[in-house]
Amino acid sequence: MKKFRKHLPAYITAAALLILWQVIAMLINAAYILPSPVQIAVRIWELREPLFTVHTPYTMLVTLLGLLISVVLGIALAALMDRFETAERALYPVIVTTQTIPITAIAPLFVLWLGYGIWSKVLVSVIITFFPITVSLHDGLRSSKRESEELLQTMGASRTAIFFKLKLPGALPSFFSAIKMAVPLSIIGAAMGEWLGSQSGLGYFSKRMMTQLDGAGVFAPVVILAVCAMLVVAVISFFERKLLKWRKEM
Amino acid sequence: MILEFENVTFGYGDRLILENISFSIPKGGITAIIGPSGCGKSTLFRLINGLEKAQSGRILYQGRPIEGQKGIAAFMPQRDLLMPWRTALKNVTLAFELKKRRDGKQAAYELLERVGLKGYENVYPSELSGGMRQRVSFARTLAVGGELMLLDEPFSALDSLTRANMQDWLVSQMKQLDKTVLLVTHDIDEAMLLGDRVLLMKGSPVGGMLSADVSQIAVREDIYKAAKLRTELLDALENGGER
Ligand SMILES: Nc1ncnc2c1ncn2[C@@H]1O[C@H](COP(=O)(O)OP(=O)(O)OP(=O)(O)O)[C@@H](O)[C@H]1O
Ligand SMILES: [Mg+2]
Repeated sequence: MKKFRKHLPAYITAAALLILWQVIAMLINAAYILPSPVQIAVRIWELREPLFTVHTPYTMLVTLLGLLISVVLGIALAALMDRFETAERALYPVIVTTQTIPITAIAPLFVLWLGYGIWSKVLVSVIITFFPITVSLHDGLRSSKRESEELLQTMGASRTAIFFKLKLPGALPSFFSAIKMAVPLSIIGAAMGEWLGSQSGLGYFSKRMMTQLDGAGVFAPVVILAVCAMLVVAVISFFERKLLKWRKEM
Repeated sequence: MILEFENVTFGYGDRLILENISFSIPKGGITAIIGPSGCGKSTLFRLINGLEKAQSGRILYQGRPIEGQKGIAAFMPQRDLLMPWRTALKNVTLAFELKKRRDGKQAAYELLERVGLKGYENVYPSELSGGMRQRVSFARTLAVGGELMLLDEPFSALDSLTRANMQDWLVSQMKQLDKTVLLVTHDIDEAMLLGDRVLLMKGSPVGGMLSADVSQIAVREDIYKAAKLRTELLDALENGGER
């Protein structure tokens, strides 16, 4: 209840914006240009069958696969760069450079390489998300104090022990913020991949509705994408609170 | 003699910190090491810990060079360095985990009780006061084991009242423990009160140690009875170690 009170102003703003949107849409009165929120809601209901049984599961699968691969890759790269300075000097600049690649421009290539199947979309999602995850983890691993490391050394800890007992737990907070940031990116990546070439998924569905000039149909999957992102972030926050209990007490 | 420095020279880069110093520490009791800030007190511990290597000379532990001898000293750092994500108990068990000791949890319970923190086992460091955190750090140092304990200004971060309490507390702890303690401090009174002997680092770079017996000082009031010695030490500290 206290939480609700705290967020009340935000709810009011959101409601006001929705009402404003509804009014403007009703004034324009052209659903193929700007569908109203009510029209979108109705359309989601009408299209519930294909949306929720086919396209949403497909996009979520792409998103989660992309995230999973990014996390595994990110942990491996960050650990490698933390352990070997040469690896850091060899990899870090390259990783940063990958961020300047306009993914949208080269994503059609992925479809060419990997086909219309799921992996071309997963690749887009991975390329977008692995950067923030790797960089935050890397910074998190480096944030442990040299003194703490030396103290563990005097206690007879091996480098592996120092990594698992000191560095990894110390990097957990930045890891979680990175993941929370990566979820929406991963969903955008998945949808973008589907938009560029796919036979299912919310991005593909939205594109198909576009060709039919079905404005509300274009928006329906977008709304679902946003809700999915919020749900996944909520699940991750739940685990974050569980694992980082000690931070609450600070 | 449990620990001996023989003509040890050490510096960081071109900057000489210790120049050809020799001294020895007898088994048992507390040796307080004093010296001005930045003279190389922590460096002395880093050498004993094996975090740094002497450029020349030898350091002997129980008559043998420290190289190749593992875990000779338990080190308590200047700042507590407790892991914020571990409870008080878990911070103490850490030392046992590293040694793969199975009964670590039980032993850690006992150590926390010994330092007067029974009931605080599952509390995170952020919820403890400075003095309590320092006691957890002390318990962790005890968990590391070994006969030699290196305490690097353990109370310098505390307010003066807590600090006085912790000093009395340490004296009572040491009576129950069979350990040889090296205590670094830059506070003469602390050195005289806690130490059985005082080693004062002379010169810059440090070229030797001035030794004084303060074993007759057992309670705070005794310091004033030994006012002459205190003044002498204070002068020596100010004059770079010349008495
Ligand atoms: N890793 C290092 N590299 C280079 N110089 C260092 C390093 N560590 C310490 N020093 C320098 O060596 C000198 C001695 O340092 P040390 O930490 O041993 O002093 P200290 O007597 O413990 O000082 P304090 O009372 O402030 O703790 C200092 O002047 C410090 O600047
Ligand atoms: Mg120091």
